[in-house]
Amino acid sequence: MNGLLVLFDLVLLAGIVGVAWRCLASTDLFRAVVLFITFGLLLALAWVRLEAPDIALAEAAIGAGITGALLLVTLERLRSIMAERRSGRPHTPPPDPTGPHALLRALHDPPPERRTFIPALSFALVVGGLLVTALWHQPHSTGLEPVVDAHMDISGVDHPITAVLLNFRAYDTFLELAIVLIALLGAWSLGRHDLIPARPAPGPILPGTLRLLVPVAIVTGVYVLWAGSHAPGGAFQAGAILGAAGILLVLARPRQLPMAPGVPLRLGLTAGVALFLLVGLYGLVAGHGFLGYADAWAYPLILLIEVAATLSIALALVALFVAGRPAGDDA
Amino acid sequence: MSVFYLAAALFLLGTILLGLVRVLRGPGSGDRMLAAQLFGTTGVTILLLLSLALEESALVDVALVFALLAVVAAVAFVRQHGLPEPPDTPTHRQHPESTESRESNDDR
Amino acid sequence: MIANTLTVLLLLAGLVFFAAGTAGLLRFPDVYSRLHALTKADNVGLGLVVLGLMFQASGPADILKLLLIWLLVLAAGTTAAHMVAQRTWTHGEFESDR
Repeated sequence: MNGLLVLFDLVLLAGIVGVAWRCLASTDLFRAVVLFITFGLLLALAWVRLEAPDIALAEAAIGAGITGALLLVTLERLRSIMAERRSGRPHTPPPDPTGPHALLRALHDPPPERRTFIPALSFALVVGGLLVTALWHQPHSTGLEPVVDAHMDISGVDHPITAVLLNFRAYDTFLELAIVLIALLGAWSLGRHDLIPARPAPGPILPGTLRLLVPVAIVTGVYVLWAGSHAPGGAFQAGAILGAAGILLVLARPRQLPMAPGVPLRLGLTAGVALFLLVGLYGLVAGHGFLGYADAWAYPLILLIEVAATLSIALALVALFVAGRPAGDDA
Repeated sequence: MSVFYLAAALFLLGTILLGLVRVLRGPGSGDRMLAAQLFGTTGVTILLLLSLALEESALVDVALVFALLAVVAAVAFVRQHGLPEPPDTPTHRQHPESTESRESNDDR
Repeated sequence: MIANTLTVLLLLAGLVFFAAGTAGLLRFPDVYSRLHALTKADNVGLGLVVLGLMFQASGPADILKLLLIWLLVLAAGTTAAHMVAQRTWTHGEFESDR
């Protein structure tokens, strides 16, 4: 059993490194994207072997549901820009040195010359050596597991990871939610979302599949959120699943998508951060410290925050995917 | 039993690594996308086997999420725009109105 | 004992189909024939493995979850194969990837 496990880990490791190498070295962008999707799959298996099923769940939702689609759509955009440039229409504006064309030129520059190989290799060897030395001299410690286990009864939940994320170190999660929101504000400040001139695949197959998949995705998202109190799962994973369902809708019917009204959309996007902040401030006033809960109230408050965070994360992921403020949005 | 599950998972991991040859070689993007789809199914199976081998029932949920979202990349792949369209295809005949709107968008 | 034997047999049969799918992906001459490779693994390969694992499930909830996974993969595989074939049909097999 143990020998087989080691063999499995070695094969997985070789696969991850090999796929990463081919992905970075590929000159064909589409091949690189597919290799990256495969990389995400292998990475999820690696998280499983590292006994981190929570992260494997997040990697599954984000890697399979969002990153692949994001890269493929970006690639399509690049291609359409390239095609426009090649056709040389008179009304095409001259290439802007800072615009997307600059990125295209950079993508099509010749690969770096061979003489950069030796310095790169020596740099990698030095960094790798430092890392190995640092890991070699790690002091032996039991980690935080006993501490967390000792305090599980006051955390309000049964899953240690959720207890850490939403109770013991809630400010980490709070700041992560804020980062997602700030990323969205950054994307919106860059401009409006112009509709990608895209056609969904014709025929009845895609709408039929969507009718089946989207409800199942919503149920699964709620299930993963609920499971977070006693098993791997939680707001980030559930938000990513719901966000992926939204992205599926955006991809499949880019034209018939109902435009979300401005104020509810903004309320939904900020719900996670706002509610977290309110609860935190209440804890400060009530004497439990910032982001502290009274023991009896820990479970309902955590559940409330998780629900709001799931909604915010899902909306933010879809909004980040379409990039830019929705057209016709003046709120 | 768990040795058997692990051996089966290792075998499936081997098929993924073998299938990577198709991704590297291509030649078309459809070939590569199909290979990725097959890897997704194989990954789901590996996760199911590992959940029994390692006695970690949460891995079934990971497999469920992979199965649920396996279609997203393929849907993103099939969006058709930006590429020159062959003039006489079934797509064209079925959807003249969407082609028009596409062109009007291109004129921006 | 009987359940374990059945699981082993069904799993082995499933693995054969995964091997066949990979072999097809590598050996078949064009996209349209390679589509078949995918369906072998989705329909039969995963189906047999799921059926085999059902004998080890601890309750009806686990069995239903396994069944749901198989159905979802079936739907995804069908849709993906259809759309890849359609795109290849309308855009040609050897479109430039850059």
